[in-house]
Amino acid sequence: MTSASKSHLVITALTAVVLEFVLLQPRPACGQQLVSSAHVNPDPIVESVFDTLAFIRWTTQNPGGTILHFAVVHYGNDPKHLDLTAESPTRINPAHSDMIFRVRIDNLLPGTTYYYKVSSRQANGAVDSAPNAVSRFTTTATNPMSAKQ
Amino acid sequence: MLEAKALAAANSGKLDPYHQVQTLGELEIFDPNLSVNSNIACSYCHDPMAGYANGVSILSVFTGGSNPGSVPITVSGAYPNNRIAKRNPQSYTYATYYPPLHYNQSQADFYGGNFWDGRASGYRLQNSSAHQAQGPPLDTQEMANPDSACVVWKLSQSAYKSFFETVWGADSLEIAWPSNVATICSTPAGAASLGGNTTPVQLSTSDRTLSNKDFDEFAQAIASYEGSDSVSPFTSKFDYYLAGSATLTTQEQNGYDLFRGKGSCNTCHLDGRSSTLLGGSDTGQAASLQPLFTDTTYNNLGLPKNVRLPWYSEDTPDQWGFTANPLGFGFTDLGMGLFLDGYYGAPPDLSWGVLEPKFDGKFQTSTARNAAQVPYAGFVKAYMHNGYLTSLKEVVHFYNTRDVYPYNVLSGHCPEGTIEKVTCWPMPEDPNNENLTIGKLGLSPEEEDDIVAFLGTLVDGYKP
Repeated sequence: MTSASKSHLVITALTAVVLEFVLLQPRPACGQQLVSSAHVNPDPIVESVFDTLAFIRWTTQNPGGTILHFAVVHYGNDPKHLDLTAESPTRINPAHSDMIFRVRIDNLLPGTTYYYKVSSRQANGAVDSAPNAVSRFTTTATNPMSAKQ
Repeated sequence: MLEAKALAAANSGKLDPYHQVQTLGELEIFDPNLSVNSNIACSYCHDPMAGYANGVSILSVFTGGSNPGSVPITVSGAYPNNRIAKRNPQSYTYATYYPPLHYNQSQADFYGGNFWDGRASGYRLQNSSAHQAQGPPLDTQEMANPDSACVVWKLSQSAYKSFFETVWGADSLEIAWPSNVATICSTPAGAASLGGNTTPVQLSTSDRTLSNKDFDEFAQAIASYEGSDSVSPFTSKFDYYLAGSATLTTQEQNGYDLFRGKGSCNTCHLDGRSSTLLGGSDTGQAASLQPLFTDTTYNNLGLPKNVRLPWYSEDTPDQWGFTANPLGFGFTDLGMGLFLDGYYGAPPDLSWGVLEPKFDGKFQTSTARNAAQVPYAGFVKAYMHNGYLTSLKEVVHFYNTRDVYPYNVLSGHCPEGTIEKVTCWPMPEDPNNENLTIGKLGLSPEEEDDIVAFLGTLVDGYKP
């Protein structure tokens, strides 16, 4: 096995061991529509998590609107107070029926559980419909092989 | 070679007006006399054999593709020993097809312009590539003329002076030059002796107006050449494929399918496909038969700082008393954010200034056309604004795995057990506004290779 693949396995293993993904609120909030499609998975997943960094990903139908969108994650240590926000620019491909949103969350505390929910908006501020469930993940303990930002 | 051929054509008297302008631009681009020390031409950093990008392999390896400019640094022990630009020179193939920089209100995004950071907005001439052509001749790190009038004076001394006047009008270059013009025009831009004066050549008001007009026309001729069949001909294999006279190989076709599918490359590198929401995969036919493979927008891809850029060491005064980068390694290249924040002076539209936080770290999406063009097998080509990536395989692998192997280190400090650019991507130079359309595409190594193969079909000069 190459050192490259070993490193990848380390990251994957850490993610698998530590990651907790629990759907706490399966139904959309009043006034918001859950995006549904046979070929999309609207539930956000933790793509990867490190000691101080996490990537959240979810897929919806192509929301249209501006090409430039912002994927948004509201997060915090208390599921009732998601006071922190991370957002990442993402461009939609008009020719694709689906849209993958991803957010990079930096400056997390190692070994800490965070709760989050996701949304997205167009570059002009218009909000897309999006899944609204609160989920959670736990960062890894400090590890020299993991990334932090 | 090319300039001799162009000069012969110019002197033949047989060119129609259309080709006269283009030929004039070609003569200008290959003329080293237009630099302060008469030692570098535009083409030295924009090599035709490398897709009009950096054409010196060893520079791709050691300086991020950034080329030495016209001014040597003679201070004892100085590194670098030449003024060098802060970025990898951007190819100018198809640059004339980029519209003037504008903020699209409905998209809430910038489109067009030239230069990695968009500062060649083209606002005055409504021609961003002409605006770009006016940059390097006056850039302290490049051709370093202290005054645009110096470029015009050198044109008036050139072998193609009469041809310039054939194109732009009789007596266009008849200006009453001061007796010290040669002395002033051999003083590099930024020299302390100039006292910050950017128009040190003393001209009458009417001559200054004429000189400014000449400088505009000098640039417009270059833009014309950049848009010519010599530079932007739409003759790649992919163009013939769209025309129905070439067939992609299986690997190229796989790469193309990935380019507009799983790889999401054509989200920004527009390939001209239809944009109808079909549901499922895109089966539409090409809506444009000469796609530019760029949407001309700006993105922060999260590239690591390229510590090999000599720019970071240009933090002490040269023999002219000029310090290019007082911040040294502390300099953060914010790309368009620098432009909007006034690094080069106030942006032409003052309302753009407030947009700066949203555009920090963003650089222009270059056309993918001719990205694969190299002068010879084994040539190392620098990619991206800072030349951090040195092969198309690395480029595609970066897009594919940036967020799979993110490490909080500078380049050169990846942890033991990892391989930089393979299983370790150092932290972004500027994490703000990082584009997450890419970063974890889930491509296999073979699929990466397929995309690279497809990019090879975008090199001009294909013979069907």
